[in-house]
Amino acid sequence: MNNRDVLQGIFVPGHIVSQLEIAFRMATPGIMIDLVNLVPEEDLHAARYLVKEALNEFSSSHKHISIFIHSPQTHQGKETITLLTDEKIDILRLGQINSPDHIQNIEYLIKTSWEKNNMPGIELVVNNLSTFRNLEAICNTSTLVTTLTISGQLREELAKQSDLDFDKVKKSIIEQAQRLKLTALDSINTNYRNLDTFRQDCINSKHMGFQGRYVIHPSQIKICMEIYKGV
Amino acid sequence: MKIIKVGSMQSNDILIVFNDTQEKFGLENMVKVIEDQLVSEVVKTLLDKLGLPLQHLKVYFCGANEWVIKARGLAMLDLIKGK
Repeated sequence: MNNRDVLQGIFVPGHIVSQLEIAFRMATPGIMIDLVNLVPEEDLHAARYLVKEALNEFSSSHKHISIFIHSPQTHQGKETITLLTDEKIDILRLGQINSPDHIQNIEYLIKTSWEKNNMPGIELVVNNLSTFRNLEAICNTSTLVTTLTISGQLREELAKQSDLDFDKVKKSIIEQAQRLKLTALDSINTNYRNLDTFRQDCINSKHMGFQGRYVIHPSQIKICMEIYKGV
Repeated sequence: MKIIKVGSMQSNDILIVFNDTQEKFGLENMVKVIEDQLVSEVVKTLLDKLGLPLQHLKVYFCGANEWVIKARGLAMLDLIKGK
């Protein structure tokens, strides 16, 4: 599946069975399983096995599968990759990639863990200034990065800096994505109660140049499909 | 005494507790619409197939499907082996 066709999916924690089951059965084109931010450290070991078995159980769902994992340069990331080796995963979402050396080491690990015709692409999360400043060099070094995503953590870091505006940073990331022929995804909007506000944010996001975003609640799906895909 | 817990009591899940001082398999079926006997047979068979020491386990079944029981069982096996 061309990554550009998959503009959004449901974002779910990898340690909660009921949410995984609902997400795999939901009518979204993709699913993003989080093994980083939403999973407590003490549940990570068991969550890896849950995700592995879920991938096998729901392999016929034909969803675009993305998994957010710790950087493979950490022991958590390495253990996750070891367990998920050769599973059918379309995208590995990775943050804390701050230099071309980082991406090279990570790609080596991925390339030695998956068969060539089954290899996941990388969604690079721009979640700190270091990644942002080295973005072009990182992407030019990479052969697996297909997508750039903004994280709310970047906004927090920028709030401490007076000379960088978040919207300008977002535009810069979108321009780089366009230049490098990568998909650009906006950050998650956790507002699922006020859908008018969410809708306006999606409209602004699309206007800026983002091609989609992940959703965290079913109420957001229809709006995203309408705004980003025109469906 | 070594105690290890994997899983949860949330809906559609299973909680497996390993206690190396326990000498008999125990099961609590939290889903009353399914017969206790049936749950016990399915759960014991799956966990035994994975090589888990049933006598040291207490299981709280909350409606988990087989893939979940397998996932929780494999995670428990790893932890028992000290990985």
